Amino acid sequence: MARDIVSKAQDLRLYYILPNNIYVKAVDGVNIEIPRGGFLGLVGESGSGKTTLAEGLLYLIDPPMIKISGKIFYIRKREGSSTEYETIDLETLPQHRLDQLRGVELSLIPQYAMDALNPTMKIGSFIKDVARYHGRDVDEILNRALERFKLLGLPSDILNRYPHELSGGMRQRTVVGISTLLNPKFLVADEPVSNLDVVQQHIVIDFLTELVEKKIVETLLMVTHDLHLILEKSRYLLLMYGGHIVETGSKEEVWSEPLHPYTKMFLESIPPVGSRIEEKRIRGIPGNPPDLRYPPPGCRFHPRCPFAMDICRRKEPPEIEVRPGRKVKCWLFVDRKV
Amino acid sequence: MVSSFQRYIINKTATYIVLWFLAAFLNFLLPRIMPGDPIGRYLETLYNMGQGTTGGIVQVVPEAEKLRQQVIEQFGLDKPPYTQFFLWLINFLRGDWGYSLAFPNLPPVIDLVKQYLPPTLMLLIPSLVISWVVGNYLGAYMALKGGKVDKIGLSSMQFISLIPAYWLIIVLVFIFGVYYKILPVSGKPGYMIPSLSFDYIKALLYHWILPMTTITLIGIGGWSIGMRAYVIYQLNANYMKYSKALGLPQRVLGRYAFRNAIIPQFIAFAMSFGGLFAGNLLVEMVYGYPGMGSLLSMILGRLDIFGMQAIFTFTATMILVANYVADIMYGFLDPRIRRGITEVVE
Amino acid sequence: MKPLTKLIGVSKSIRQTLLGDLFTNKRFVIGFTIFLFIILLGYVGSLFAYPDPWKISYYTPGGTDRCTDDLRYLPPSPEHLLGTDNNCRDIYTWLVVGLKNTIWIAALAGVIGTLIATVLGMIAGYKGGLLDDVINFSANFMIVIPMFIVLLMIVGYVPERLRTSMLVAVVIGLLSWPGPTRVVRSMVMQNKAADYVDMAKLTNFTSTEILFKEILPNIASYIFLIYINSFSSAIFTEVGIGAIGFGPFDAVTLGRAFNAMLAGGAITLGLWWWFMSLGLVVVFLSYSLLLINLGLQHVFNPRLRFTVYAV
Ligand SMILES: Nc1ncnc2c1ncn2[C@@H]1O[C@H](COP(=O)(O)OP(=O)(O)OP(=O)(O)O)[C@@H](O)[C@H]1O
Ligand code: SF4
Ligand SMILES: [Mg+2]
Repeated sequence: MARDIVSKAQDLRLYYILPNNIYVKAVDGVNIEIPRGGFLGLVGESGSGKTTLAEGLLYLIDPPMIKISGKIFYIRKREGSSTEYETIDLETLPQHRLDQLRGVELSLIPQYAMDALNPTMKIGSFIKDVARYHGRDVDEILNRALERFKLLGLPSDILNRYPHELSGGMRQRTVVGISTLLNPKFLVADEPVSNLDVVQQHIVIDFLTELVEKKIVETLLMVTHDLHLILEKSRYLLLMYGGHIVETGSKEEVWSEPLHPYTKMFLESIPPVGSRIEEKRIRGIPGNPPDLRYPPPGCRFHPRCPFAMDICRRKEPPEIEVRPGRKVKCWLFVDRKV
Repeated sequence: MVSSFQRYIINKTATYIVLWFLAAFLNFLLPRIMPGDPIGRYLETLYNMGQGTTGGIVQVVPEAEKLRQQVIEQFGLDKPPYTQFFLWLINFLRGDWGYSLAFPNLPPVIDLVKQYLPPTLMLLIPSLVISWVVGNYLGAYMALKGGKVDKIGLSSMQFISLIPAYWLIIVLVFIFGVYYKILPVSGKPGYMIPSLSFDYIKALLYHWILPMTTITLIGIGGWSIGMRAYVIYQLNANYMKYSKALGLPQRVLGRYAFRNAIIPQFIAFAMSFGGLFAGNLLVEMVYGYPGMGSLLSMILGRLDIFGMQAIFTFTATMILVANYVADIMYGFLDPRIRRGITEVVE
Repeated sequence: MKPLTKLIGVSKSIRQTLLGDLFTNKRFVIGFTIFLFIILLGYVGSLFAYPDPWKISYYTPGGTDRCTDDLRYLPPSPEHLLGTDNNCRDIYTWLVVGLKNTIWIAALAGVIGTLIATVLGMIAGYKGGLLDDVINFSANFMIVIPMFIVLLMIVGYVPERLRTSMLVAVVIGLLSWPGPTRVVRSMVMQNKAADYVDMAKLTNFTSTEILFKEILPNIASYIFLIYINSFSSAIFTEVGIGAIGFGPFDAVTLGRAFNAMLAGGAITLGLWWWFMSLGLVVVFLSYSLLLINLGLQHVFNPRLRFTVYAV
C-alpha cells in the first residue's frame, strides 16, 4: 500500500568505481520498502554500505558512486488530495523537480556533517540561498533557523559566522538544523551524533525526536551502528550486512525474535549500558566484515556464520518475506515461508 | 591591541622587507664574486671609451673620464664591502642607479627604465587581464561541463601552455608578417625616438599586436588549466554534496565552485606577474619590441654591470611588490585569514 | 633487518600492477611513444648528420671550406635534410646535435635539482623545527623570484669562456630545487604520520633508517615524477637562455640552434622548415614529458598537483 511506504528501492546496486576499474559493491541488490511515519533505524557494521544506501534514497549518486541497476522511488501525498498518493521514480524525474524535492520533502543529515558547509559563506547567507532557491520567504526561514539553532544549543550570532569559526560539534549541530529547516517529510540522518559528546548527543536526539513527535518530520530514518539508540527510539529496523539488507521488521519483532544469524549475533554483542570501552571491544562478532571489492560468493555472511551450510557458500540467499514488512535474507528460512 | 588580521599584515610586510634585502644583497654580491672582475671591466670599458677617437664617442671623452672618478666615489668602490652595499642600496632607493654602458652616451640607468618600462607594461597588463579573465572562464566552463568538452579542452590547453612564447611569436610573425604581410616583422617601431607623441604610440600599438597575442594565448592555456583544477576540486568538496542534497540547483553549485575557486586565482594573478615578466623578456628580445626585454638584451650583451644590477634589482622589487599585494589580497579575500587563521589550504 | 614496508607489502603490490597499468594508460603510451621518437631522432638521427656542426657544407664539390652565396640558405634536399644556414652549415646537423646536448644538459640539471630537493625536502619534512623553517623560507623566497631572471643574472655575469654546458646544467639544477623541495617536504610530512613509520619507531629504527628505508621507498615514485618535471622545465630553460645567446658556449644545443636561427634571419626570409623543426622538437618533447607525467600520476594516483614551470 503506497500510503504506508515513504521510500522504496528495487534491485538497487550502487558501486564505487576505483581508479583501476575495480568496483566496490557497496549496495548490491537491495529491495526495501521504508514504512511511512515515525523513527526508523538502518543498522549495520562500519563499511556495510549504510551511507551509500542512504545517499541512494535521495538519488545523490555522483562519481565515483555509480548506479549499476535498480530503481529508487519516493512516495508522497498527491498535491491537492488528502487520500491519494503518488509514486515518484527519482531517476526519471527532471533535475529541477528533483532539486525541488530535496531539502524540502526529502532531506539528509550527512555523515560528513562536520565539513558540510561552504567555507567561504556565512551560515546565514547559506540559509538565505536555501530559502531563496526553494521559493521561501527568506526572513521567515531565518527566524525559524534562529529558533531551531537555539534549541540545538547554538549561539545566537551563528548566522553571522563562517564555518571555521565554529567548533566541530557546533558545525554538526548547525547542519542538523539546516537539514530540517524546511520541515522535510522524509529525513535521513546519517550518524548525526557520532562526533558529539554525550550532552550534545542528547540535545540532537531530543531535537530530532521532537520533530518526529510533532509530525514536523513525518519519517526519520536514522543510520547508525549505535544499537542502544536505535532500540530506544525506533519502531522499525533495517539491518545491513556487506551491501545487503539482511533483515527488516518492527523493533519488537527483531528484538524478541531475530531471524538472521547476523542479527542474532549483533544483538547479543550489544554491551550493557554503562559498560567500559574494553568490554565493548571484546564482544562483537568474530571475524571480519567482507571486502566489498571481492565479496565472498553465496551469502556474504557465510565466513562468519555458525550455521553456514553448503548452499550458503555457493548461492546468494533469496529474500524471504516472513510476514508483510518482515523480511530476511537467509537460506535457513527458505522452507519456513508462511 | 592588534587584531589577528593586522598581525597577518605586519608579519607579511616584515617578511617581504627581509626578502627584498636578500634579493638586493644577492644582486650586489653576484657580480662581485663572479670570476673575472666585472667592476674592473666596467671601469676599463669606461676608460677605453674615454680613449676612443672614433665617431660619436669622441664627444664623451671628457665626460667618461669624469664619470670614472664619479663612479668610484659614488659607489664607494674604495670602501669596505658592507659600506659599499649600503651605499649602493641607498643610491638605489634614491633612484641613482648608475650609468649604462650599453649606449654610447652613457645614460643613467633609471632614465632607460623610464623609457623602456611603459611599453612592457602596456604589453603585460592587458595581456594578464585578458588571459586571466578568458582563462578562468574557459577553465570553469570545462570543469562544469565535463565530458568531451573537458577532455578536448584540457588537452589543447595543456598543449598551448607548453609552447614556448619566443617560438610562438616567430610562427605568428611568419604567418602575419612574412606571409600575409599585414603586421610588422619586427617589434621596433621604425627609427622613431620613443616618446609620448601620437605617432609613436600609434606605431607602437601596431608593433604591439603580435607579442600581445602571443603572451595572451599562452597565458590563457595556463590560467584555464589552473582554474579547471580548482573548480573540480571544489565540485568534489563535501559542502558541494551537501548543497546538492539540500536541492540547490546546478547553477548555484557552479557559482559556489567558481567563487571558491577564483580566490586562489586572484592571488595567482598578482603572483604570476614575475613569471610573466620573465617570459615576456624573451618574446621582446626575439621580436625586438622596445621594452624591458630589449633593454635587458642590450645591457647583457654589453656586460653592463650597473645596468644589470639595477634592472635585476628593480625587477625583483616589482615581483616582490606584486607578491606582497597578492598575499595581502589573500588576507582580504579569504575569511579564514581575515579572521586570523593563518594556515591556509593551498 | 628487512624494511617494514617490504613486510607489510605496501610497495610490492604497487610494483606488480604498475607496468600493466602504465601500458594501458593512453596518455602514457602516447607520451612515451613521442618521447622515444624524439630521443631516436637525436641518437639514430645523428648517424645521418655531418660529424661537425661547425664545418660548412660538406658536399661542396671540390671540398671548399669557404662559404659562398650559392651554399647559403639552401632549401631542404637529400644532402641537407633541412637545408643550410647563413653560414652554409647543415641545419639538420645542428638540430640533432643540439637535441642530444640539450637532453643531456636537462637530464643532468634535473638530477641535480631533484637530488637537492629530495635531501632538503626529507630533512625539512622529517626533522621539522628550525631547519624546516630555514629550508621552507628559502624555498618560498626562491619561488617568488622567477628562476629565469636569476639564471640570466648568473649567466650574464659569467664570462663567455667559462659558460660551459656543465656549468649551465649545474646552474639550472641548483636553481630548480625550491618547488620540488616543497612537494617532497609535504609528502614526507604525510608519510611521517603513516602507520608503518610508527611501527618502525617502535622497533627502534634510527631516524636515518626510517627516512631511507621506510619513507624514501614510499615516495620514490613521486620523486621520479618530480624528476620528469624538472627535466622538462630544464629543456625550456636551456632553449630560452640559449635562444638569446646566453646558453653554453662550448657546444651546439637546441638553444644555440635557436639563436643561430634568429640571427640567420630565418623568419624574414620565410625559411619555415628551419624554425618549425626547432620549435616542434621542443614543443613535442615537453608535451610528451607532460603526457608521461600525467600518465604516471594517474597510475601512482597521488593527490598531488604539479605545476610545469614554463619560461
Ligand atoms: N568514495 C568512495 N570511494 C570508494 N569506496 C567507497 C567510497 N565511499 C565508500 N566506499 C566503500 O563502500 C563501502 C560502503 O561504505 P559506506 O560509507 O556506505 O559504509 P557505512 O556503512 O556507511 O560505514 P560507516 O558506518 O563507517 O559510515 C565501504 O567498503 C567503503 O570502503
Ligand atoms: S544464508 Fe547461510 S551463511 Fe548466510 S546467514 Fe543464512 S545460514 Fe548463515
Ligand atoms: Mg556511513
